[in-house]
Amino acid sequence: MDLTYAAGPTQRTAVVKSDQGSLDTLPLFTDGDTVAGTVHISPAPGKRVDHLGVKIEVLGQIELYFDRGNAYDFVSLVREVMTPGELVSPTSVPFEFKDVQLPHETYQGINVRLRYAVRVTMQRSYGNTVAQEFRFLVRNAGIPPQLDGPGIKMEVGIEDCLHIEFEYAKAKYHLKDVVVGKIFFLLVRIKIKHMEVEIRRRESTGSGPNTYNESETIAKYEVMDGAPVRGESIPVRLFLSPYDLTPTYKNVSDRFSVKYYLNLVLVDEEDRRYFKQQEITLYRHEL
Amino acid sequence: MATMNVSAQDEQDKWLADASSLVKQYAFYMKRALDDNNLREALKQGSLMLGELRTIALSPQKYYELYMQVWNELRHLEAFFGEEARHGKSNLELYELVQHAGNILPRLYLLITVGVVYIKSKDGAAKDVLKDLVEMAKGVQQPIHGLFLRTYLSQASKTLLPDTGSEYEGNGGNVNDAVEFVLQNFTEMNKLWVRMQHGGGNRDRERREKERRELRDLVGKNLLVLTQLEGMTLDLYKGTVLPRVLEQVINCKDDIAQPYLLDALIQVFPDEFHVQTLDAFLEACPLLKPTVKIGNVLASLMERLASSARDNPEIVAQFVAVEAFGKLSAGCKSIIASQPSMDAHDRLQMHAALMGFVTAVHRDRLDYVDDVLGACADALNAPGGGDEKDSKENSSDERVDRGGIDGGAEDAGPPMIVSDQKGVRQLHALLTVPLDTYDVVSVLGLSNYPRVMSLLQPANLRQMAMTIVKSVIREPEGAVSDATQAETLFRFISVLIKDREGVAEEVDEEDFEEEQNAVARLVHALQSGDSDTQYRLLVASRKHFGQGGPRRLKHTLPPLAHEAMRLGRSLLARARADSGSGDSGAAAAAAAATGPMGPALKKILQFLHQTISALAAAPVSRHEPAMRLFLEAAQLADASGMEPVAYEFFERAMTIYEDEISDSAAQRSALSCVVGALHSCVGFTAESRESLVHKTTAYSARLLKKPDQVRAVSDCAHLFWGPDGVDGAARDATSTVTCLKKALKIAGGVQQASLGGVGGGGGDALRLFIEVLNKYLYFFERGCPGVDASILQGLLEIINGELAGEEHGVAPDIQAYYGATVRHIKHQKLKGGEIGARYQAISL
Repeated sequence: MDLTYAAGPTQRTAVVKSDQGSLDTLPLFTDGDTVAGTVHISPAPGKRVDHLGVKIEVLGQIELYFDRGNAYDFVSLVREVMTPGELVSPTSVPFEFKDVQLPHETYQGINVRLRYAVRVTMQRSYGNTVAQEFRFLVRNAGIPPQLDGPGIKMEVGIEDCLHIEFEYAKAKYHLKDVVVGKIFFLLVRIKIKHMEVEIRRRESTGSGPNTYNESETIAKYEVMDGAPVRGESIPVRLFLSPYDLTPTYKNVSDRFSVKYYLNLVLVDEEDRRYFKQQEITLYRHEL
Repeated sequence: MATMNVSAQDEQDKWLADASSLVKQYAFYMKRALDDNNLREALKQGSLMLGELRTIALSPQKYYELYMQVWNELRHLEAFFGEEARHGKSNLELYELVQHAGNILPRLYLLITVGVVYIKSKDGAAKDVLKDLVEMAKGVQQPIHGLFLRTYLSQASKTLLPDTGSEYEGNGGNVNDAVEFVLQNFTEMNKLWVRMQHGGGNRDRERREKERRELRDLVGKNLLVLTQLEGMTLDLYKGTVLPRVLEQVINCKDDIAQPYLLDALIQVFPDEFHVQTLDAFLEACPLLKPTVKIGNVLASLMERLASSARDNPEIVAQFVAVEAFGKLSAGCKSIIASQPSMDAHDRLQMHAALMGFVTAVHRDRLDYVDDVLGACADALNAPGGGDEKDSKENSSDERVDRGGIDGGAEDAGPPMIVSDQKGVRQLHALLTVPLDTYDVVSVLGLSNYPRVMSLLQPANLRQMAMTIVKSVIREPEGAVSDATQAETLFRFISVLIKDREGVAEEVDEEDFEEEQNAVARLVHALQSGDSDTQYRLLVASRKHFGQGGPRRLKHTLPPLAHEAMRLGRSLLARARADSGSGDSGAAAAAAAATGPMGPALKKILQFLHQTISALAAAPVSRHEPAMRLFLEAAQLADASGMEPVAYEFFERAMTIYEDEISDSAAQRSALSCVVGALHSCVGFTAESRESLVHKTTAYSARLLKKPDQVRAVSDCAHLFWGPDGVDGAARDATSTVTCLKKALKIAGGVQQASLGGVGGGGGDALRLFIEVLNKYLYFFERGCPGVDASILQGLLEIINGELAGEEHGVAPDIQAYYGATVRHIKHQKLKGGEIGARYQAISL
């Protein structure tokens, strides 16, 4: 069984990291695309295959890892492409799903994944049903949020110990954006060794008492070496493009959310860490 | 401790070696990647290499070595970045790409390296790129890391500044942007450098300060970059550079940075700039930390200005135009006011430099010198400010004026006595400079000079006094020409002239001698054209020297007596010229005594009497000089027609001879002095003269050694036969002949003694005979009755006989002596005339 997409070589693709860590190149769609193509079914040479019909589905699934096998299909479109019969030679059947609603992006998280696939199923009266899935990716460029909104500005501190003010020009960034900011030291009584900005991703899955939160650090970016003195202001310029980021996802089908934070971390000479997290909103402004 | 240091050193070496070998390794992989045009890998290896600079274990010196190694490797990377074809990225893309590096230090080194290429390509405007780089570098706050990173930035950007006339000017900005960039980098570097001082306990303070000193030029180089800008103008310096640098200097409140940076500022920027910005510079000085030795800095500024004035006289007009002196001296004052704890020698150094400035720039302004001295005296709380000074100056206007200015300094505390070596040197220099530049007397007349001098300890005062004495001696004659000046001078050198009351001082004998000799020479420097004044000078000197005690008197009185004698003689010459009488003789003398100069001469003789008596009375014996002086004074008195005085002087001389001179050689030479003096005197009454002559001949006959007797007695012959052509000279031929005969007799005794086998005397006798022969010849020539050819003939025969009889040959000197005598006789024979005729009677 094989599948080609109607767009042929012009079909958009993207590279993703698979579970196993290898890089896969997969077709890429976005919300409202038409998913069309041709299914090629080749029986083993010299054998005839009886079947009870072939159907093609477009699936959008959310899988929670602690609840595997209980995937939630938020998209499930079915087309019967072949009536029951007999296959003797390789056959190609075209299919088309027009303007498919693909509201969520493909996401591979720690406790959850959101995946899309075209599933071809051949039902047989006896023996096993033959089914094959062809994964594809969905990415949706968001509407750019209001950019003239206020940036992040905040004064934090530990009394008589450390007092800083930090400022990021924006609170919302697209994925190829640059975080520009400034850290202003109002009081420094600890011996700081260095300072870094981390990008952290927090994934929440489930709801109510069954909520699971997982955080991971996507990026560590040293912005200061050594100890500043009072009155020093340290520039921050962090390019987001090198990192594997996704847009911020809010409450995807009530199943999960993904949020991003900028975490400012100061490390002192005894390796104690002082930090402050600020949520930022990420969005995709191009595919 | 030593072993600890050694092991710390070893440790440093090891760390450096480790880091260095890693750098080498990463550099190797980096270069391999570059050969493959593999940008990503090259950046990765480059970052790793640069990561070695993140160490905090190395001392600045070792870190510098590592930095240089990395610097060399970065050149490869820079070259690669410059060739777009090899990596396929635009400069802007590269500029972003290197910023993906996670660690800040490697990231910034890479960024600067790309930035250089970016500016060179002119894709990026120099001012923008540089601004970004210098701003981003703020992320490195570790002092050593930051200093070297910014040094890298500074080095890399040196040729890329949008300076006036540079190819990066225009789109890349202008000189203002260049200055802004350098100043910002400088400011940040200074902050980092200053910060090294803090953190860590007092324990490591010394080491830290040493390390900081090693690094200071990294900071200072920025100032150098600024001066090298083509577009650096006075306006730019005045309006931007100086205020910014000063602001940084003041705000950093650091003991090492403040003086270093100000000094660097002084040294790197041209003098024209300093002249025009004195106000700003001087205003900043009092704002520095009180512990900073700002005096040194100001001194170095003034020295620099002074030397530029010496090299380039044109700049002097500028100094005058901006009233540099007034500003500098006000600057000194306000610095001292702001730093009450400043060391004496810092205060001194500052004023010494100010003095140097005055002497270099304002050679004609002695009042400035006084101002400097006054300021210095005030600065060290020297006594004599305010009221005391006023009373001396006797001017009510002045008093109000001074009171107004100096009021605050009066009760500032006890004077700071300068006793440390350095301070003394400076004080000494401060006091010497004006002596060398202006005329000594005027300088000494300055009201503040003694105030400053009072700051010296007695021992050091001696040295200073010596300097003054030497300066006076060096001056052309007549420098000190009236009694007031002399008084002033003696006040300054009183330490040399007398002992301090109640203090026994240990002074090295040689030094003492040297000092007194100098003081003695000083007497000759006191010269006035007017004889009354000259006399007053002598009296003043005498008064001061009189307090010096015997040790000094023996040095100081003789020159005084000689000076008095000289004065006397010159008076005498004038008297004679006035009266029109002859040059010598009793009549002339009598004329002098009664003439208008008489009283003056009398005073001088009295003065001489006192002076020489004092010398003679001194416990430390100076009898011979005293005696000679008496004799000389006697001659003067005689020539002045003061017979009793002359007689008194001879008496005194003879008393000394009798009482004090016991050595036979000394006696012999003393006697010949007496004879000489007496011989020339013409004014004595017969009675006085006889008494003196009698004594003299008696002394001669009593000499211990026969040869001495021969000579002295034959000398005495002259006493009876005074000088030719002088009115009143003695003419007693009989006594003359008697003396000569007596001498010959004693010589004969010597000859007998030698024949008697005493041995070795033969030559002596011969010599004596020849000597006596010469005496005879003298009188023979002058026609003394009783000295005739037959006596001479006899004497010649005796001598010839002796010569022939001498077994062992005659000493060459005697032969020569005799030869010369014979030649003389021959010569006289040939002369003709009266004398020739007389000589004809002698046959050889």
